[in-house]
Parts: sequence; C-alpha cells; structure tokens
Amino acid sequence: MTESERCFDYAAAGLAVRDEIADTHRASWEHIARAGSHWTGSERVEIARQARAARAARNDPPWTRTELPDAEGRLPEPAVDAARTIAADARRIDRAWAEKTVASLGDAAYVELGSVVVTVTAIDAFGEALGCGHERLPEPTDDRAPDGARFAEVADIGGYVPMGDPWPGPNVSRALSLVPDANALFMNNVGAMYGGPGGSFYDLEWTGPLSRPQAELLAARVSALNECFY
Amino acid sequence: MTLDATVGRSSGSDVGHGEAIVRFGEAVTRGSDDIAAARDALRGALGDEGFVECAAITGIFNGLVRNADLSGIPLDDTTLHASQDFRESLGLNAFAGARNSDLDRADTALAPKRIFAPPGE
Repeated sequence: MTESERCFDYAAAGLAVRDEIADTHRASWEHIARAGSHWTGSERVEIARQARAARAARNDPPWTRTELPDAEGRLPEPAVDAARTIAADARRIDRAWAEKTVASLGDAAYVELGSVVVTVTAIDAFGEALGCGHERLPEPTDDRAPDGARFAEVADIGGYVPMGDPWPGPNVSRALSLVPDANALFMNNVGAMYGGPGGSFYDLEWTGPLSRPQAELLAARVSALNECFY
Repeated sequence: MTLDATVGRSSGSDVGHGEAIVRFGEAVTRGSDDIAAARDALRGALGDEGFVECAAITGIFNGLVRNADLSGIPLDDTTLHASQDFRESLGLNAFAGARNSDLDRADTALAPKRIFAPPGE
C-alpha cells in the first residue's frame, strides 16, 4: 500500500465510507500540498495548519486562544488571521473585516485561502463525526509556482469578492468561482459528501440510506448552529 | 418537516430518526462531550451506511457555511423568495450574513414550486 493509499484509510478503521469520499479526500490532500493559483504548496499547508488549530479552539473566546501555532514567517500575518477567522469565527465575518482582509491579500488570494480552510474544515469535521480523528496534514510539494489564474467572467453580485456571472450551477457553488482551481478543490468534496448514492441536489426523493428530509434536517441544523444565514 | 428543529426549538421527531440526527449534528458541530453517545445512537438508528452519510453531510456543511460566510454570497432569487415566510420566524435574518442579501425584495408570491429545481426547469 502506498503512502497515498494509507492516507484516509477509513476501511482500516472499520468504517463503510464510500470510495468516492475517500478518493476525494486523498485528492484534496494532494491538491492542498501543491501550488495553487496564488499560494505555494508550503503556504497552503500552513493555511491548513492554522485553520485546523483555530477551529479546534473555536469554543474558546478569541482572546484566550494563546496556544495557536506560530506561522514562523511562512504566511503573512493577515493570512494567518484570515485562516483562523474563517475556521473559528466565520459567523462574525462582516463586510468591514472582509474588505480589509481582501485589500491586504488580494481578492483571488483570499478566495484561495478560503478554499483551503473550508476543505480542511469539512474533512476534519467528517473525521470527528466518524470518530476516527484527523488525517495528518500533507507535506508540501513546492515543485512549481502559483499560476496566478483567475476566472474572467466574474461580476460584483453583492458579495465580498467577485463571482462568476452568469453562473449555470447551484448558487453556492459560485462563492469561490473567482479562482477555478480553488473552487474545484472544495466543490469536489461537496459532490462526494452531499447526496451520495441515493440522490442529488436536484432530487426531492432520495433512495439511499438517508431520505431527503433527513439530510436537509441535518444540513439545516448544522447551518443554524454555525449561525449561517445562507 | 417542522422547521423549528433546525434552530433547536423542537426535537426533529417528525422526521424518521430526526432526534438522533439532530443530536449527532449538534454534538459534532459543537465538539461537545456527548459526541460518542450521539454517534452510537445514530449508528444504532440508521445503520452503518446512514451513519456515514450523516457524517458526510455534517462535515461538508461545516465547510459550506464557512464558504458562504467568507465570500458574503447573497441569496439567489429562488431562495430569497421561497424562504421569506420562515426566515424571520426562525430568527435567521438576525445572522450577520443576512446583510448581504436584499431582503426587501423578497416576495413569497414569486417563489417557484420547487426550490431545488434544475436550471431551466
């Protein structure tokens, strides 16, 4: 078994996780480890490390989180703050904070940073839910430089960053559309983890292990606990 | 489905195994001490496959909420209109992200029959 296959080996923990989920999580780790469009692999792994640590401290008041890891110069301070805020205090994000952070990092770099944070959060929360803990973060592979890519067909639709417009898919799937590679990182996980074998976003009746009302009850409760309006 | 369960005002018992599902989602999202018991109860209620799907939905929605909050994405028109009648009653309009959507434009009369309808339908 290769190192990559050992990663996210849910079957070894006795858990009947679909191959699509495990494969997507492995691919996500490899994706995070290499350069994106606006951050290097080392920077992306540091973003992941800061996000994981901050989320673990999410129930503590911000001023008491004194044990969070030092980025040791691997990330600019506004990026450290952004990763920690999105991971632990996203409900408190407002336009003033977002505009200040975007002005400091650049809109595309902010979007890509966010994609790493939300992907690590989703995968970590899945591990916690299963009771198998967190996968070790990947080693960065700095074999190329960020490519600077941005999606061209974007507009200001009222969010904190430009988004694809027009947009053919579900609205939430365009939140990170400014950076296609970043959007793909997270949306691949949405595709694998939401719906499963018995139904999709567009199906009112699911035939898999969960009914649509069961799935939506859970999704809505998790969203409300996070005080997410969307 | 009683929407009150989504904001913790009822147990979710009108959905099959809803109480176990809600308790599990709460325990994982809060990182609370009862997570092992919630996990066992859900696994007993839904079996291994249902338990794993609930874990997947809990995980991805903990990412999706941050995705929405970090980007400030406004509601699309379909959701804006279709959710008008319950957003206020559930207290959702008080969440910080509500400021990014033009809630004054919401009109239930404009809501489609299917909120999850594929594009073009």
